[in-house]
Amino acid sequence: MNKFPPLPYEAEVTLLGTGGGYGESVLLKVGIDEWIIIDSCIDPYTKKPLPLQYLEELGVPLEKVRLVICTHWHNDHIIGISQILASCLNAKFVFSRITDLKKFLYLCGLDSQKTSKGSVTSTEEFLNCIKIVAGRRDYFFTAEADKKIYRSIVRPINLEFELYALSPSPKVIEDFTGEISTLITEYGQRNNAIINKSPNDKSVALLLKFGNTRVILGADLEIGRDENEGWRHIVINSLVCDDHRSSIFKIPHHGSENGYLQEVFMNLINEDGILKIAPFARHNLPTDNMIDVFSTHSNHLYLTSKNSISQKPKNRDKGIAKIAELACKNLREVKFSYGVIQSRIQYTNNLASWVTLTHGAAFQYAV
Amino acid sequence: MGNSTVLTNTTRSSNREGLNDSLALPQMKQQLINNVVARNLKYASFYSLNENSNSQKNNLNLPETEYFIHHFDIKFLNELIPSSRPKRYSRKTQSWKGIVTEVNEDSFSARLYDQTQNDTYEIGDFEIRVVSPEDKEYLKIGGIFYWSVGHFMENGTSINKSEIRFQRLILLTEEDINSAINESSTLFGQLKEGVIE
Repeated sequence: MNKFPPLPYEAEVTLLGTGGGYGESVLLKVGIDEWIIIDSCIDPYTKKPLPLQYLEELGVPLEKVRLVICTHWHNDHIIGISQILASCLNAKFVFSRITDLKKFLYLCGLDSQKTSKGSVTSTEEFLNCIKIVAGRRDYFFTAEADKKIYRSIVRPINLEFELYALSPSPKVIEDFTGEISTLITEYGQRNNAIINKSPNDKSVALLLKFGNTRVILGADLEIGRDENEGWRHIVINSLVCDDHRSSIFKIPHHGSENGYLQEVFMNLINEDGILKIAPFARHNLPTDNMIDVFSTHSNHLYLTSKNSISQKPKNRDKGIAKIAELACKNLREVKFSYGVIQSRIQYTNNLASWVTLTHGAAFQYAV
Repeated sequence: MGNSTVLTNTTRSSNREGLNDSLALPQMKQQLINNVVARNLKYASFYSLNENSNSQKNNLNLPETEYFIHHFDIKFLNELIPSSRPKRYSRKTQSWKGIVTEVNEDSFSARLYDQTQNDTYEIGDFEIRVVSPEDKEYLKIGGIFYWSVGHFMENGTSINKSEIRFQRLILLTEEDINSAINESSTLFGQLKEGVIE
């Protein structure tokens, strides 16, 4: 991995992974020196958000970060994002469009009240970001299908960088308004933590365009039940995907079967494009079968770490470990496996192609 | 998190040197109350376990009782019940905070946060039978529990324990709910959505 910042006329698309248990994040360098951070992950030992650590290692000042995008609202997916937003003073905050934001903030408020009484918070990261935006008297921005969320022009070559949201679809946004009431009823005033898998369908997939280059970042978006949701909606209805196929695809939802739609590869992704996956070992994602499927689409398949979960608990006193073992079957540690897949391209050279390097636990999959 | 504790007193018919030899239950309960109040604890329970009877639980419901945290604290027990006899407990304990992620017919899975090593977390599967009957109603996806294991010696006898206690309902008061409504309204009023040009 290059430990120096990209050159002014280079663009960068870097995926950070942790093995799944501690989040994932994508960093984009666009224009001359503008950075965008999508989601977050942390080092569980230092608690430091890894995107900040990455930028510091490259020597990039945090004021160069212009956008912090939250593709989910659930803490599990965005751990550390409020610390990122607080540290990046020039960054705008973007999140999935929520029609009834006031009601959603009420859900967050109830979650916060419960947390103060010993519950486990599920919305703290999102709520803290909102509070930071309010405290700065800044604007927030929302993402929904076909909406442009960032634009930058490089002078004097007049090259335009545009970042579009590909999701959520109008139907998913509409459905979520009703879901908030259900969440308030089911979790708002009870002791349970919110274990909600549905944020995935509100997940914000993104399309980056500059010149003839396209990059699709799949977040955790799943294929959807019909053409009104998920990748099915994008393939059929997207107004911003054009004839240029993506040369980099951050594969959605840790390479799960639920996130795989063949039409996406047929219509939107370059043959032999660069495919990046952040595995989620705890849920055994991606499976070997899905790795085989992705391998049929490209020889440039990269993973931020191996999909293997430890079969052992954490190191602790042997006597205690023995008693614990009797009560709890399969007690095993969710290991922290930090991996970086860094891709850079010189955008002033029409013949240039992406140069991809790995670091840490990341590797290129060999067929 | 408020202070709270559960005290466990194990007495076996074959060995009557347990703590309730030195104090009758009502006296012990009064001492518990005094100590709990003095320590500003919110909740405490005392268990008397006897081979010939089922577990008897005496909860000390204090005015501020809001939630229940399991944690056996032998040191506290020794402080609580002064004794001229040498302390007979040594301990090694470990506790986790767990969140239920999956419930099956006979087992459940959980994410487990080690309360002493706050770095990586663990996952594990438990048989449902390890959950006490009174806690079963709280065994749901998202349910929060405390799992404690410990090893201690009592007069040369080695005792291993593993206990799971689920967090009771968190009752949000009208004040809490009004506070959530007011804060969300205020926050919402401060927000402005921008447009990308």
